[in-house]
Amino acid sequence: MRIFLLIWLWMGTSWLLRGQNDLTTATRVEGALVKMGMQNIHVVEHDRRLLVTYENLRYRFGPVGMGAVLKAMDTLPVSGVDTVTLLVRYRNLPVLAVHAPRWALHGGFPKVASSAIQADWKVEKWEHLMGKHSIINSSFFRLDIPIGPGLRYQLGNFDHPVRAAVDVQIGLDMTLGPGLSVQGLVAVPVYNNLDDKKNIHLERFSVVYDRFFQDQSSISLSGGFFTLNRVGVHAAGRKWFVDERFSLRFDAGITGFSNIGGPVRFKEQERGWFPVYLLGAEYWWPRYSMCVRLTGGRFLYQDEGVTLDVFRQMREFRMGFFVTRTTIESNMGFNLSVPLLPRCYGKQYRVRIRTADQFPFVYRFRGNGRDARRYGVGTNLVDQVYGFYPNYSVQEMWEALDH
Amino acid sequence: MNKKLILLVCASIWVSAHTEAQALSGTTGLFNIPSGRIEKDRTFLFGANFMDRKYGAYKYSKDADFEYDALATYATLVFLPRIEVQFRYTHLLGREISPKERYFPDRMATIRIQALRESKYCPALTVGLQDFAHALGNNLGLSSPSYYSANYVVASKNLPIGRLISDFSLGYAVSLRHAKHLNLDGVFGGLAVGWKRFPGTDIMLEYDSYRWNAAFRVLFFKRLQMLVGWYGMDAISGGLSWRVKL
Repeated sequence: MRIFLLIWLWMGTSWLLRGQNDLTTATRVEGALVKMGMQNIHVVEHDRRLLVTYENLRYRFGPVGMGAVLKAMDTLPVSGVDTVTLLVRYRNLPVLAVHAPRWALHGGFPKVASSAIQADWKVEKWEHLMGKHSIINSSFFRLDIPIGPGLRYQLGNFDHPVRAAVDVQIGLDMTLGPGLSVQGLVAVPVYNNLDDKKNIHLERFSVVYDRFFQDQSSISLSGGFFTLNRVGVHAAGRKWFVDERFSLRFDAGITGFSNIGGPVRFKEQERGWFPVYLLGAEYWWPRYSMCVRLTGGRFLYQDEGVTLDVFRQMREFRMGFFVTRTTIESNMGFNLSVPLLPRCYGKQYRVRIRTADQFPFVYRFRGNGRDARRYGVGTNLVDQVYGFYPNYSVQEMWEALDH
Repeated sequence: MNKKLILLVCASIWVSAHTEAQALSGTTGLFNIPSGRIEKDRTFLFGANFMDRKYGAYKYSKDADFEYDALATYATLVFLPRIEVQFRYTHLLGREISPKERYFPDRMATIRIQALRESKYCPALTVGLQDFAHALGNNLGLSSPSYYSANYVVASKNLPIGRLISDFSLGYAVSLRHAKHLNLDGVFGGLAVGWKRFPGTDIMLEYDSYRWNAAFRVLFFKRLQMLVGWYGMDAISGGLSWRVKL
């Protein structure tokens, strides 16, 4: 009897173990990505190619997440695969394809030549090969609450030389569908001797819809309550040429005043509907991840003119300079964006509270006038796309792995 | 006094060296003069330097000359491999910011461009516009008073001598517009000496177009620089800066 019982146990456990070994490569990779906290995951094998799609909401910097995924591939027993293709997503839209030969990941990634890994924007082919699929660990209808500092200030007036407002800014971000999101920002004043926004107030609340097209173009549509107390609609689009090096951009919007966000400083801000239309040309210098952008048109407070922006993206730190010349006045200054800790957030469940990605800071030589002003509509693909530039992403992934 | 200090510098040759470091202005240089060198690409520095009222501060409004000591707070970035930019606020210590005083700290932006990199026979050559809003202000419609303006070209050459590193700098500064005060005006030059075994430590002697200065600096943990010097050989000035590679 005992012998029969032992035989039955042995048969049962060996079947279970065989079952473990029979897990497909795709299932193993999916399991590993879920464990890492990646979202919108799907993995398929096609013609000795492993197609892995995911969205990174775990690592502060996308290329770091990309490196982590490739590193995970190295540790998994992946068989029957010559190439791994990562299809990186943004709000569940495929935006970047990264190709790595299997040998480059085998036995000690990242100790391979950086040229072994290539990236491009030709994502539709791979998306088509994946077919209609159900995603694992979906990011839809999960609320992200990034919290960070906010600062407004005015320096240099002799009558009141140092004026500032410090807020704790509580963000609200939820992806509703592919490319569709609802975003908000609430400011909790900590200190304010600058203006009348001394109570908890809404900075913005908007719905944003993004699309990314195969012909290297992108469009973002936004509607709702924007910063600077504007309510209305806005459209932005970009078309790239010569990979990501050169792009043309347009912005068009119409907004009216709303006092949802509290009182404003200038009476002119309360006047009727303001149309905004801007055209810009941008050159991206991949070697130094530097951008030169010339924008001209009509700005928020109906001043017409041009702005020249030059900035450099140094990993997650962005630093740049600008010169503006509009019908209101000329100005110049610098802006920087400093990443906030930590580098890796907690996994996203129904609700996640985390620190904001960045702390932006702008210094305007002639103070905070009304020249060349633009409202903020929330995060959209047209503005966030630098993190998905093919050459830049791979280059930064290597840099991050080296550090 | 001066002879003693020169002897001290010569004697200290046996002690230390580093060539790319921050001067009192906050940009790459010796003590109060710039050098032809530029830090490595993506280097970001921030710091504060105390400047003695005797030589380091400026005449403000109806005040007597150099009544206040000054504190220069700055951030410097190597924006591109040959381009260094800086933004600085210089505060007069003890002077109240108020409508009555009509005083506000002096702000200044600087850009330095390295035209030539150092080679075996050729020195590093850099052109600098210190307080360029003043230098270019009329063209941009951005007029600004200037207390620390300097427009210069400077060359630097490194000459290793045995276990020592000696770095010579020689430059010339001109006035592009009529500034109230020029930080450098005419010929300036200096020598920084260090020991290869202690990189990041320098002893410096320089002529800043007005007076002779001597100083030393130490770089701790490749991050924290301490600079101490004798302005005009008799007024102690210096400060601390922190550097990171972005």
